[in-house]
Amino acid sequence: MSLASPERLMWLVVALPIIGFYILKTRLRRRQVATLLFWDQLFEEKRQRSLWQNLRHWLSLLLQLIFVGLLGFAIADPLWQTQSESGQELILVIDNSASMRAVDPATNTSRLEDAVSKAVDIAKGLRQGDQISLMTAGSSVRVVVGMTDFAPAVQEALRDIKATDGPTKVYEAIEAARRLASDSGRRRIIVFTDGCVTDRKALVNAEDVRWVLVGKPQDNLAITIFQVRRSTTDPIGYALLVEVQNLGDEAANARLKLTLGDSLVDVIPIKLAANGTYRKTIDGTSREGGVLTGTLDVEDGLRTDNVAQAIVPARPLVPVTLVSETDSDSFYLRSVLSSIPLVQLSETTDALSLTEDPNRLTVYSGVSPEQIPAGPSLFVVGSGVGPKVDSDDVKVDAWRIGEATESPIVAKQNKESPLLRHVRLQNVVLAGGRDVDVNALIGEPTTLLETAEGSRVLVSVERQEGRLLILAADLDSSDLPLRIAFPVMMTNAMNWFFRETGDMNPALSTGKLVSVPWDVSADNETGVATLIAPNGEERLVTVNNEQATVGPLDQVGVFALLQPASMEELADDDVTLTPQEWLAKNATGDLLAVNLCDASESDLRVPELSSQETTAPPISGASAWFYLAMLGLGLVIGEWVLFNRRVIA
Amino acid sequence: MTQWSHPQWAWLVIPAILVLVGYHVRTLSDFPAKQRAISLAIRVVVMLLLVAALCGPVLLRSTTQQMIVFAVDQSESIDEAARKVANEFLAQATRQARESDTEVRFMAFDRTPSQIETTWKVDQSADPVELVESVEQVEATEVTEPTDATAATVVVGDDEAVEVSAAVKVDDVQPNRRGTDIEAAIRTAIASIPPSRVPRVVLLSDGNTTDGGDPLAAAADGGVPIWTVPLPVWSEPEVQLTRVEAPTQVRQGEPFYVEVVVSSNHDAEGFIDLYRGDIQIGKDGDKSVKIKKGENTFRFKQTVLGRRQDTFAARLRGFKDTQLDNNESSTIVYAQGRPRVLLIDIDPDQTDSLRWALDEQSIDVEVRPPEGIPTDLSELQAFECLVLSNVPATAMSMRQMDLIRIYVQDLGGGLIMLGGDQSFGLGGYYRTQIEEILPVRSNFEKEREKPSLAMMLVIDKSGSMGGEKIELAKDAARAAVELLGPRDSIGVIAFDGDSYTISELRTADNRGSISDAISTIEASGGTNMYPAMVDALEALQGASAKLKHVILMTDGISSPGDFEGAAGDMSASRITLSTVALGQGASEDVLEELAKIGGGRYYFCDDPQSVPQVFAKETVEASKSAINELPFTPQLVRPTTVLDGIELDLAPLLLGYVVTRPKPTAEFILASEAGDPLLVWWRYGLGMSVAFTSDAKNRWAGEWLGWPDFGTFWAQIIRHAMRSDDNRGVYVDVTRKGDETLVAMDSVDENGRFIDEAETRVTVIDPMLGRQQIEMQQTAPGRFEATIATPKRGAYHIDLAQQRNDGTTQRSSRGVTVGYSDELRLLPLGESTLKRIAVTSGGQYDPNPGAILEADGRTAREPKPLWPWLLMSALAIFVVDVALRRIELGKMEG
Repeated sequence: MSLASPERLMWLVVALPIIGFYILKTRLRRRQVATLLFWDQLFEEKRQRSLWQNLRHWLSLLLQLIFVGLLGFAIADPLWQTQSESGQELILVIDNSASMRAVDPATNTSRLEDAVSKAVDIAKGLRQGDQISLMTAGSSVRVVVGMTDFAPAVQEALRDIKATDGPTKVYEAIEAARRLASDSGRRRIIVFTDGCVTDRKALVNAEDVRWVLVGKPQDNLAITIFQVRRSTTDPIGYALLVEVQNLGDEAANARLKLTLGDSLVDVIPIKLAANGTYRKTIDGTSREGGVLTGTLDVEDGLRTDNVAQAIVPARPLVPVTLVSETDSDSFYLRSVLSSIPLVQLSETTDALSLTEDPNRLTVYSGVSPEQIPAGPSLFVVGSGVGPKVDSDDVKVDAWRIGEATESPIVAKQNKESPLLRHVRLQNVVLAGGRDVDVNALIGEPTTLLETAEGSRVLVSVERQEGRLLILAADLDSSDLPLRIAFPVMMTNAMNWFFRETGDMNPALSTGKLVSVPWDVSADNETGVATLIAPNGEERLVTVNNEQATVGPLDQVGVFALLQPASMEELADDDVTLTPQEWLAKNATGDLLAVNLCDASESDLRVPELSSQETTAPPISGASAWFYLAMLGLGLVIGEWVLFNRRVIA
Repeated sequence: MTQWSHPQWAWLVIPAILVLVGYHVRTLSDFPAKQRAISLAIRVVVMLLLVAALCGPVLLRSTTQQMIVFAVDQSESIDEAARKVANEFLAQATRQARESDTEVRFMAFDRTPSQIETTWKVDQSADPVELVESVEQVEATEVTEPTDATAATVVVGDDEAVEVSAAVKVDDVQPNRRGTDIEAAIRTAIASIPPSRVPRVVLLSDGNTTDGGDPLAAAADGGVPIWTVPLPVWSEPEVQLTRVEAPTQVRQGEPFYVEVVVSSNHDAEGFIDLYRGDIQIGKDGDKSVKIKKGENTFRFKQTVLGRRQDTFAARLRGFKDTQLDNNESSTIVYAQGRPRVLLIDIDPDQTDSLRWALDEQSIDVEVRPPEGIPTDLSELQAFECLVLSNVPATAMSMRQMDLIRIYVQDLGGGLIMLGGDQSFGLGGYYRTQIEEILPVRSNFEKEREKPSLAMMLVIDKSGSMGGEKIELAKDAARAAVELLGPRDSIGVIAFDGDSYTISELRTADNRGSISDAISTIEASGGTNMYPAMVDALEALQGASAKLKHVILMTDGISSPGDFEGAAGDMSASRITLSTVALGQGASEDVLEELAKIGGGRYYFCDDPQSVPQVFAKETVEASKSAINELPFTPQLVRPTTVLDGIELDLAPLLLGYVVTRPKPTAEFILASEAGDPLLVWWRYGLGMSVAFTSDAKNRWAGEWLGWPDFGTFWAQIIRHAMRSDDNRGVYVDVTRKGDETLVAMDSVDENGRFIDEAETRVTVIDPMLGRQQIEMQQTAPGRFEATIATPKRGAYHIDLAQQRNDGTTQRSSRGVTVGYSDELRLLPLGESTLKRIAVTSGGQYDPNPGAILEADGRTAREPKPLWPWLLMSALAIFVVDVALRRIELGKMEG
């Protein structure tokens, strides 16, 4: 045993005045008495007791000296053997993942509350010389309190811990804890968790890790996959993949309610066997898109996983103007265009009357303007003369059309191009197919379809002012318009013209770091985007190579990723706007749906650990000075009793 | 402000007061009442002080005492100049801190943050080589001053600053320096500051993070001002190949651009070499190019013709450069188009008819001699099917066989072996990896009517054969024993300076005992092969077998002897002699000459691993039993849809085949009239292997070449065997990020509907040919994803197999190459990142060293335990208490 402050042992000199007081003989009091007749007799009788009497005085002195010794020693702060060798570094890891929100119906306390109260108990028992720190391990690993020897700081922080909606990260937290306290001999990591982790077999005590399990097993139904994407064939269709798992040992029934925005889409009754899984792809249609919400109508252990959301990307209406010579022409083209749900079709026979509008698609069927207008254009060309383009003040053809060929069978198809996604036109006869030789002056051409003779019948051109697509075919006599591929191709073309390439806005999961495509701020160099949480909190995220790094998020719901510049004008200092409100105000950006979707987190069955694995480490017990002071307290009272009850001679 | 750690002990006051007061009332003491009351009061005060101490009061003092943690980037992108800047900054800051009594801590970080230290060791940031030395020094100091070693782990927050020696772990420094994780650094630095200090983090970095999450988020979450100090990026002249970009998927013959992005921090001139596979392409190779500071993009127009997959690599040459590790990059291009078959034949001229026939069936064939067997997987992956036509096992290395196995088993490639005098058993495939894949075995029951063989194995057991060589030679000898029929006989002679008969010439029935005898051979001694040759000759002269053969193997130069004479004697006694030279040291000329005289074959084995194949090949060849050269018509054993439309009844005669034995689970399709396998196939792993024991050229199939169904027959078999990689409706996206690669596969059926719930697996072959298989998880309608670890540099090959509900399997193969680490990438200073970190967290960007100590008005609460003071006062007052006992107040006054 060693002393923390040996210099304070000098307090033991207090014993000297005390002994001095005892040596200081109490002067006998002079009392006048009537007679000394009985005095001698009494004196003789009391002789033995007087020895005892003396002894009692000695006892008093002894007790007082012991008291001084105890306190003097306590002040010097003796350390226990273990303490003096190595003070412990105690790291409390609190799992504040989604499953810790589960409330035990019997006690009406949540698992997190249980864990916190157990942790507070341990923090209270912190000994002198020990260090303590606090981490949380839900969604992401956070150090709440760095290493300190002051336990109340930890206790205070413990009570402020909030549950997250994310999956647990206890293993990562243990790694981080090991980094924080690198001496494995002194490190004690205590993990307070419900054991709802991915790899439950790994819940094994290591030399430096102890598990404190909280919570009672509960049954739970959870939505474990919820992803929606636009259909590849139906322009306004979408497909939703939903998976519901019964993470319980008994069969369960539930209803899954699907709503898109405010309107009800479907209610699906689900019957699930014990540990059963329901998985289905559900098709729906909506042009506007919006937030698709799935809600499990069930009372179970955890609510977070009964709701999942996904964003159905909106499909904007596309203004399309069909320019043809007479109304009778382009029957097929007109019907296909008007059958595409997104198209707002208008027609004209007068190419000159068109005002320039870069947001409109102009379809020229059989006719050609003098010059290619700004904005995206689709040309269905025959033998006629194409538009002109300036080349050193000389007008040259924008493209040249080749001679008609015998049997223009499509032999080669560009499979890379998004225009031909899900389109197969190989071996299709394309009546009126001719070679289109595009002048490189207007842009870089890409051949999409080529016949066996090498005629480039479908060519796309990348152009600054708007993309071009040139199809050399006679649609009224070709069977191309009759094929399913044609409307698909036209739908692809709509996406391509207006650079709507993403057909999916993947719903994210909490606790994961993800890269979200972000090309909104490509023109400015800020390199940041603002992430708006469902409650309106703002946070900056870094954008690199058109990818925004988001996460790990610790909250489910609908977030928004916005361009900071677009928010400046709309911002109102007094009002916190929700993600949807921001977008309603026309801030530039996208919604992001964030769900838990983690089966191992939703599985509320607490794993069994052997008792040895769950025992708390022997950390409780106070410092030596505490016991010394306690003894001193006893002595100071005992001595009082002794003093007051002794019979004075 | 005071806090009580254990307020529950305050309850002790109540019983204590009761006892004190109770005994005070019923006291027997005769002190005056006044003195007794004072005594009680003092005693109560002592008691209260003690109880108060037990309750653990802590005074929370508001303090402006700062703790500054310097997080210092030590990753590879920080060069000597940057380190100097960092060290200077730290030295100044530390000096200032010492003057103003501010606590400082240091934390070096790269891919992971290292331990917090109280002093900054300049040589900590030394070059790796020196670093090892410095670590050794550290270990040395730990030995001499054990107290310091334990002190190294004293936690921050301890009032006494302890001199800490840098405890750098040598083994994890190297790989870790190849990355920067600023996010982890910020989080760890913040976490290491105790709540009793005003925290501040100073981040010294170039601001380029390669690993981990968003540093901005960490800065915002931390609530601690982070001051950022930019360190200069590469100051030495540096040119690097940032990336080679090409479309992952192109069509055969379609022109596309290979984009080479070169970054440099100075204007420079040099060469860019572009390679396709191993071949340099591009005319610009000899012309130097000028590059400017920053990113330069060069485009090379390329097409992929006649290949399924091509690797495009670019290398920089002749630039003024410092780091040479980052001058190379490559990418794999996958080309759609006609199926490609690689046909290996000993005599490529003989393959024309097969090639033309297949070309008509829209199958491209590339013919190569055995030397052209691919030596890396990327090259093999360019083909859907590999045809080995009369190629002996001795023509390929163990590694090539291993590649073929991986290609078939794990990457779903097809393998077809055609017969011939160098195929199957005759090619020495016995017990090889290829035989493992093939649906037939080359050890067969030798027929009775075949001529019997007597064979002597003459093996060099000189000292130089020690180790692996002799073991492989013994294996080879045992394999030869196993391959012989019951009427054949075999003997083994080993020689060093002398000749030792290991096993007399005995019939192969005694396999066990012969093998046991072979096992006893141990290498030692010199080399003299003449006596052994004579012994072999004598042993065979007495034998009655119709065929007599000697295999002579040596790895050295023999003492002189009349070898030619011995070989001539053998020849005269109708004994054939084959010789095997093992390694460069063997007397190759002599052995080759002997084989010629002896009427046998000469082999040169550079690699002892191939010795067993040579022996197996020799044994089967010598026994003349594996070839059946009687004309026959193929017999259909098991009807199959693969041969639909082929009129086998009308098939002409085949003139011969190699005798093999079908494996039990193989599909036995065609047989010879003798019932031996002609056409057998089976599925092996993900791929398919086919054995056709006759050939497809003039020797045996001369009449077939004119058969109208010849082309169809082979086209259908090849289509059946090859990897079907049509990729319809499948879009595979391969994205590499750090050490991981995300493979995402979107699949739709022919009508454009998403494919759901299809079992999808991805098989990955890493650059070291290790294999792992991962189940892809469906994450959205039609989308399947898997994350594969790609930590090593090199090419990874990926095979995706999707089992669809209609029973078909959709296969796709892709590749991804991993180049040098992102850390070596020449990036501009991540100034905006550092600025943003500072702004978000409330710190400053690029402060001067003195400024970092500036107080900013924030305070921390520093706890100070009060119990010692309470105990001290209790003790002091107790003395007064005792004094009151011993001195009567009244008397004193009186």
